[in-house]
Amino acid sequence: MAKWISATLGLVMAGGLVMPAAAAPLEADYQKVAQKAYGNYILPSFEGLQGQAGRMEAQIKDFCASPSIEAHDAVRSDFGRLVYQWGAVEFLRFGPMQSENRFHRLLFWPDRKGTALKKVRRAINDQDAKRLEPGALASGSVAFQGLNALEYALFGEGYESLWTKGDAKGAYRCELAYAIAGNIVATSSDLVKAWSMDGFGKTFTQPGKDNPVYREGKEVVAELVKALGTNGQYFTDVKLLPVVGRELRKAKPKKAMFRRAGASLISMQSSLDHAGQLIHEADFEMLLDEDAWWIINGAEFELKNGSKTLKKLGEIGMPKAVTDEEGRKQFQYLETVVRGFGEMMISEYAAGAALVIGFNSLDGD
Amino acid sequence: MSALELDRRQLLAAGGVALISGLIGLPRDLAAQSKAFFASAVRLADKSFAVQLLDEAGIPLASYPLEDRGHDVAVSPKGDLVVAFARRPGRFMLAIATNGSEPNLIWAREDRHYFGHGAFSIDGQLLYAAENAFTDKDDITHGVIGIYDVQAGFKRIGEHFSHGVGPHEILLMGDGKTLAVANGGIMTHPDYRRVKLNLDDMKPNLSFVDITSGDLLDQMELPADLHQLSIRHMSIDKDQRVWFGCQHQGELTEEVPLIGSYKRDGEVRMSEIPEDLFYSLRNYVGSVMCNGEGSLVATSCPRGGKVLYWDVERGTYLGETALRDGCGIAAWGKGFVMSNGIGDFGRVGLPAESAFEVSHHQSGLAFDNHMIAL
Repeated sequence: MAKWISATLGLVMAGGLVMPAAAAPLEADYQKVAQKAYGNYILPSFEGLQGQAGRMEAQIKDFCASPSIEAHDAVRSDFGRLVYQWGAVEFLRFGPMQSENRFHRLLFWPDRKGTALKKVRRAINDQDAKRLEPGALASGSVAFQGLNALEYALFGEGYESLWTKGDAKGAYRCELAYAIAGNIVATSSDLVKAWSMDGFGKTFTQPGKDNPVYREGKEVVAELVKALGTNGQYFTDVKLLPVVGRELRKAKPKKAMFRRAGASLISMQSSLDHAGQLIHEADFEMLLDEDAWWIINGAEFELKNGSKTLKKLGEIGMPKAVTDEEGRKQFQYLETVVRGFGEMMISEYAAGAALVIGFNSLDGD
Repeated sequence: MSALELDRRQLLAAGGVALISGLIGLPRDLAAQSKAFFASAVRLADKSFAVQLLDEAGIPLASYPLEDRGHDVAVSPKGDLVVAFARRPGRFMLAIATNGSEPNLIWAREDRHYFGHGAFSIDGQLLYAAENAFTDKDDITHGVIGIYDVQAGFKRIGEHFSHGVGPHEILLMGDGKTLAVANGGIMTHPDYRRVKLNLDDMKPNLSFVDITSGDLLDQMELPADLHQLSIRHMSIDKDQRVWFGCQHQGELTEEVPLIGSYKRDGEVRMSEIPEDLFYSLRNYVGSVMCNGEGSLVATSCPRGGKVLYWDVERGTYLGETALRDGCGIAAWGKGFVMSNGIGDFGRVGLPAESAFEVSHHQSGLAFDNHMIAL
């Protein structure tokens, strides 16, 4: 690729100016990145979610057959792994994830009215056997189908009943958790199918004039870059700030995603790890001139700093870290780092890879 | 040569970045001497935000720093006051007198934030702002229209229910007694900043609200299968028909109508977008604006890099103008002026499909979503 970027980037950094590229990557280069993103990251990630959801379902089945505190701990570990795997696809909110409310079927969060919790609680009280039938949950409220509903069934208030002998509500609750896990398997299987080369996989990897969504490879790569930017924003605006608050008096530890399962930090870690994985697996670097590789290094540096910070927060522990002075400092730093990462991708990388992501078109209102 | 001409010539000679860098120190005198024709929120080259007053060629006469990103600007009936609104979930308004006096920064109530739009009453005494009402107790919010007394330094004197969730653009109807409110239907809570909380069950509507009592006079809701079509921006044509542009929250391949019009107590009319254009719009319409005669409607589609035109009588597509990252549109006689995210300001005359002619470019600057004629 032509060496045009060094002159451009000086201006990008100095004044936020983006000069027209003397030479941009070729269409074939963009398509290659799209294909690598699909084959090396996107499809395997959805398959990974399907696989982990299947393991979770099996684990719950075994647990319900012979429940114990120890077996419940194993279920908790498996739930953490499921949360981690969810983070691999959480930010891929275009295409199949946008259809049929699939995102909210998998995670109804923020759950502004506590709907998932209320529905699980009511179901445990009613003990309606019909609700446990395969496919029954899928036809009801989206709030009662995904990870936070499963989390409440397994780790919400009164979860000890799950292994209390002779507790009918506990036994029903376990079956309900199994049914929700089954629904997560079904939704993630749908996603794998929808992303196949008979479906959106083709749309994503073969841009062209007859493609209903992407006419050029550049648009596909821009989609990925926007997804990474959105990932950063979702991290700060949903996972971090509502919990930590700008001031101590605004801290709300109970708003932490997956707090009942003790998986809040796992969810954050997953966001950072998978952003880095996508950049690496899709070979984002190939769209940059050598002189601009610092952008990738810079983005990875931010992600590494984020991971180090999460490790420190893990040492303090949740929910203590939310109100602890040192914990709050670390969260503040984490916010800066994640914002820096998002900005790096949306501004510097987009300019370096000659992507068109306009001020108005990126984030209008 | 008049003082005004001298100032203008000096400005033009300065041009580009030099002009911008010196502008904030100069503006008020200039604004007083030279006539401002347009106003728009902008992001400056240093990534800070401001609202600019522009002359008829798009040359900035004044630039007022904003706390954060702005959105739309409302102008008083006499044109002597403009108010820039914070973009959601921002909590400020900046009122600027075009005679150059000190701007007035207004903060929202603790439990309210702005949605980026507002409108003046017909006598200019009151300002109505689209607001989100929220509490710390839960994440449920509802839309209100805050009422501000202009003479009392924009003191908030009350509010009306917006009759929906997520009110966005507000317009004063021609009778001077009714507010048209685009309730986009998307619930947000400032704790989660701009995250959309209710995409599964959103219910947008276009409400007509009695400006005095706040009563709902009429309401248009789209069919249930279009419940994810967020009604955001509007303009009123010569027959008091409200044209609206939508942002669809579903998948890109769902071909939903994005532009429609509604006359109070009548039937909604959705306009058909030519099939070969649809894909490029990315489910997103930015500004909606009638020309000065109210005989032609322009709708900007920044994700598609074009502005589309519509016949107000028949609701049909007339043509398009290519405009990269273009969003701001203001009426200018029979035609329009437009702006974009790469600092271009220019004109488009009639007929539709005329080219966008840049009259002024501000390097490194991005014009925000909306522009208004003063």
